[in-house]
Amino acid sequence: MAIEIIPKKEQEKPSSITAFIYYLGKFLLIFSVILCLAFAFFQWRFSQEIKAIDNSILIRKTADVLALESKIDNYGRKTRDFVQLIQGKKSSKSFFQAMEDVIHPDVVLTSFEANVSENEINITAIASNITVLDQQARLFRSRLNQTIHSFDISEFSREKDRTVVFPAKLTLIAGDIVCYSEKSNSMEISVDYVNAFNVYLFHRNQKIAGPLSSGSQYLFEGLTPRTTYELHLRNGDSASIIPFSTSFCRTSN
Amino acid sequence: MIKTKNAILYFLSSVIIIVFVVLPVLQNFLVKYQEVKIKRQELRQEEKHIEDLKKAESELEKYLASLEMIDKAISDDPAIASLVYFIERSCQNSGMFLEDVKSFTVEESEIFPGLKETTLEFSVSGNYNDFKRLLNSMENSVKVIKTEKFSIRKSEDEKKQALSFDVIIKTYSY
Repeated sequence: MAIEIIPKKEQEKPSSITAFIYYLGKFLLIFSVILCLAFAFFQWRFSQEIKAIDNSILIRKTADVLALESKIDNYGRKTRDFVQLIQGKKSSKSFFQAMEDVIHPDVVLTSFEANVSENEINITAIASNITVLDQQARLFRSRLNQTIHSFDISEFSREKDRTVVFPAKLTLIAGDIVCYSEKSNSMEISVDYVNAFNVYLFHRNQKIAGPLSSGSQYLFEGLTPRTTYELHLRNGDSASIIPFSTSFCRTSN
Repeated sequence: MIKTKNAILYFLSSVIIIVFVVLPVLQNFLVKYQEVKIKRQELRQEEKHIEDLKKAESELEKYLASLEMIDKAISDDPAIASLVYFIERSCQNSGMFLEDVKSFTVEESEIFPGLKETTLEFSVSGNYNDFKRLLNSMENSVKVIKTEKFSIRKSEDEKKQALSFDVIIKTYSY
């Protein structure tokens, strides 16, 4: 048996922690390289897919599709504009009706100016005498809250022949209040300028309905007959209050 | 033999690679993945959009008559000449006489964005009932015509029994 003259150094055994760190480091190194390659590959694939999708979208947007798109957009825009215009449209018919109903037989109009968009009528008239002027004012007052919102006869002059010349300014209510069913106590209210106003229905300071801001006609049901309600038209900070009584409603035919 | 120095070197280099290479690559990968997801969604939306367009086109065919009416209601240009001609025809049909077309303006509408507002002022003469008929026929015409103001006065010619009417109307176009 050989005898070792110079004894070799006993190999140092690596500690378990060093071995763990070594293998972990090696594993992580290999794993991170693989990950890098995999991510880079998928990134490349995604770029290719994005290009393909872009192409596909471009191919789909043919001249026909673009033309169809513009045609439909155009019709959509025109229809929206048309609806808005029609909703805000006012008829001059109510102006003639309002005046024909309310002018005294002994009053002759010498000038008549109607501002349809502002619901205003300015007249200059000749009454045959002062009593007729008073009766005319009473007539205007009797139509308040039905067709006339407010009126103003602030001055008049008496001529030598005892006729009375007077200017008057009338503001008509912004819309039509129509009772169409007395049986169900419901009524339809059409309010002009629905685009500009939010419409509320009030009774004794209590809000019953609203805001109603779309459509030009509203149906209120279950109202009490011969009761005063208020229609509040609000536009920003300004509000216009139109009181009306259900007993005063016109019955639509 | 595993040297401690080697172990640390391996470990540190792998940590450095992870932090400075793998993580940025991963971040780019996630960004691209999101992009692809969005693009896929875009493609689906585009397909749906084209499908909807085709459906809308077939739906539109049912309403061709109404759409033609809307086309006439808001014309593509102010067409003042045709508007004056229309008023002249309406006057004739209602028994009125178009005396004068005083002025017209075309400007962008403040209330209806995208629309041009044509304001036209004209005078007619005739009797009261015919004037009412004229306004009614204009307001109910296919073209959107709004009466802004009107005034009634005695005709300047004393011999004439007819009344004179000044009217301001508004029409809309693109």
